[in-house]
Amino acid sequence: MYLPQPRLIVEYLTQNASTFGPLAVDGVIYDALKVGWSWYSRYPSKAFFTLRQGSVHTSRLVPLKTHIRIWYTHPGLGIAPRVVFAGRLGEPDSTSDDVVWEAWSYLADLSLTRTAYRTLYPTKAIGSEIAAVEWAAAKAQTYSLLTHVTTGTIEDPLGTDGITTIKTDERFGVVDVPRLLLLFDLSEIGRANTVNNVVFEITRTSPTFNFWKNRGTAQTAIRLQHPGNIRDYRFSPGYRSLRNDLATIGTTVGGGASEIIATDEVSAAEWGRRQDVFTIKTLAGVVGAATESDAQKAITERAVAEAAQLSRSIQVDVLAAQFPPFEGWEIEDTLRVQIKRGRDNIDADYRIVGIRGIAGPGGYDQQIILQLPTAA
Amino acid sequence: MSTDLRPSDFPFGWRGLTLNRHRTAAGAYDRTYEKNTMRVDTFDYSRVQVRDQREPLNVATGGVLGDATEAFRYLSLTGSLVAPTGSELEDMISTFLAAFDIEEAILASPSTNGIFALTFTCTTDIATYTPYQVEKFLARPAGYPVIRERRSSGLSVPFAVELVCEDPRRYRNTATSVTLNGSAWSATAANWNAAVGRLVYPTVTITATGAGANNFTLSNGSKSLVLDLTALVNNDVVVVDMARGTIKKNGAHAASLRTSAVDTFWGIPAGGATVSASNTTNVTSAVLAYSQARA
Repeated sequence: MYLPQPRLIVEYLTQNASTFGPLAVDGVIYDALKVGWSWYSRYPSKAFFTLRQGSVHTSRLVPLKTHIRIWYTHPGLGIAPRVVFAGRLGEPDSTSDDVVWEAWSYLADLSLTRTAYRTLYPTKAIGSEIAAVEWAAAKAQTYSLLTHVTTGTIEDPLGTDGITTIKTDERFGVVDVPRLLLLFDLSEIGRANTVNNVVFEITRTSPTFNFWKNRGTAQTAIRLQHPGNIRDYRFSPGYRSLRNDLATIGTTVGGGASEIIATDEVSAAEWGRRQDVFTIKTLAGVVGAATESDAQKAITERAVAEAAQLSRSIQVDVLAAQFPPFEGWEIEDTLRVQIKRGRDNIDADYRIVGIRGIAGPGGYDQQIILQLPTAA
Repeated sequence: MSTDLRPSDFPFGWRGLTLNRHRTAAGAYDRTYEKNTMRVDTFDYSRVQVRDQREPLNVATGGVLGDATEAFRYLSLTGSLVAPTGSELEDMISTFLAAFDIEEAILASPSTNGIFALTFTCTTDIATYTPYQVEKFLARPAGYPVIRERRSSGLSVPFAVELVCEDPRRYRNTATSVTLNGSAWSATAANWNAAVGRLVYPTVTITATGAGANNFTLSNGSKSLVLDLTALVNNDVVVVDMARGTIKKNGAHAASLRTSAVDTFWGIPAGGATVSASNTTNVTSAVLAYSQARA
């Protein structure tokens, strides 16, 4: 008998031999001892479930071939089943008593495809002219694990003016890079020195690949708060990485080198001078500078503004009934986090970059991982 | 008016079941049900689990007492099921088991996860509450009931049930409602007296006729919750749940209406408080609903 309580339902599917994607539902696991799932921004997500050795399902589950979908439902709250995880089975981890099955989201399959040797992308837009090309190549491989994934929206990251497309320099290229790493780096490059939240994803429902230039919605109707829907939290403000005086080597007209220094004097007065060096990223996203030197200076000033900001990541244990997964929010969205407790007095907009939930003997527990968005 | 009656001299209520029905609501003995009743012999509500954080000092005498909160309250009832015939007794047993079945409770009330009110009656000499009050614990069965069948026990069987409360407070069964409106934007919110009462949290339902002030303030005299109601239109209803810290507008989450700090949700302390609303432009009323509680 299923009671109207929060529940994770694991559904497994056979594999389509030609697309390497899910084909048909093969069963529903009703006897898992423990089920866990996660969903992260830009990183492959992992799920697991534990079955007794004697479970009827163990003989039907095939490592690397069986696909799973995990549904969350809470009839007590009127929440119909919704997919919180989709991916393929990985490794079974057995003991004499039980088997822990792991599964990875389809994003993980991007780590199993690599770029060609010395593919050059000179003066190319990051999304439409690199990500799209590499994604298409990954899909087009014979026996590609990603054939079943639909190509969705691919956008070009923009510079600080919000108009100009960021492009690579004339020497940009790749040499046998795992495509997951390449796409991660492309999203980092797309973010570089802008406030844009450039991300890529393969969606949970109807798996679709997207490359977004600035993903996320500011959610104002919901908040995470303590006291309130946060049961417990873990907060690391990021003081140790605070820097307020950065130096880099720039180029001058004619090919010479010059030192560029940018400081945040307000931060230095508050926290003492904290110097560091950094390297200007290949693609800066700074547009409109009159000279290369001006651009390098602007990049350095922006870097120090970012380095002088506390990174502030926070992990919160939420009361699942008061903050159900993906109920009016998604990964990448921002929302206000307010915590007043002892030395912590947090009141800022954070970006949701991950969620994980575990249903076990103690009931269903859920954690949200958030980061302070990049400083403007 | 003092009385010698004890809680076990009054009826108990649970999911439509009346235990001690051989007692009237006023505690009088009713012979009609003398041999057809679920008789309560003991009622223990004293076991409250405490989350008590203590840390001994490192290589020094003593320690530090950290936060301590009351978590779950456990209730137990023991007594006898008494019926006129053997078949009626068996049916009574079955009725009793069904009423205290945890899964049936959850199915019957999914929204509360199986929590129902266990009502009971206590006498009191406190003014305005005397001579007695029906009170309640909000509980869920904590295990399967014990029914002990014995040969030669006649037409009765002893029983024992255990319940658990996620909210350990002992509430008055009748809800209290306090309305703030154009007649009076300040009123007394009662909560027993200072000697026996316990802090409780109301829900506040705010009804508007149009755009309100950006600093509509609800206060209990020591804390003030400030809401920005400028986006409201006629017939909008905002509900503030002070216990959970949630704010909903027309049923949808509207957390951003709050402009005061996160710890400004307030309760009604023991002995009650004077509650008020200010900056009430286009607000028709703010109605507090809560149940008073005592230790």
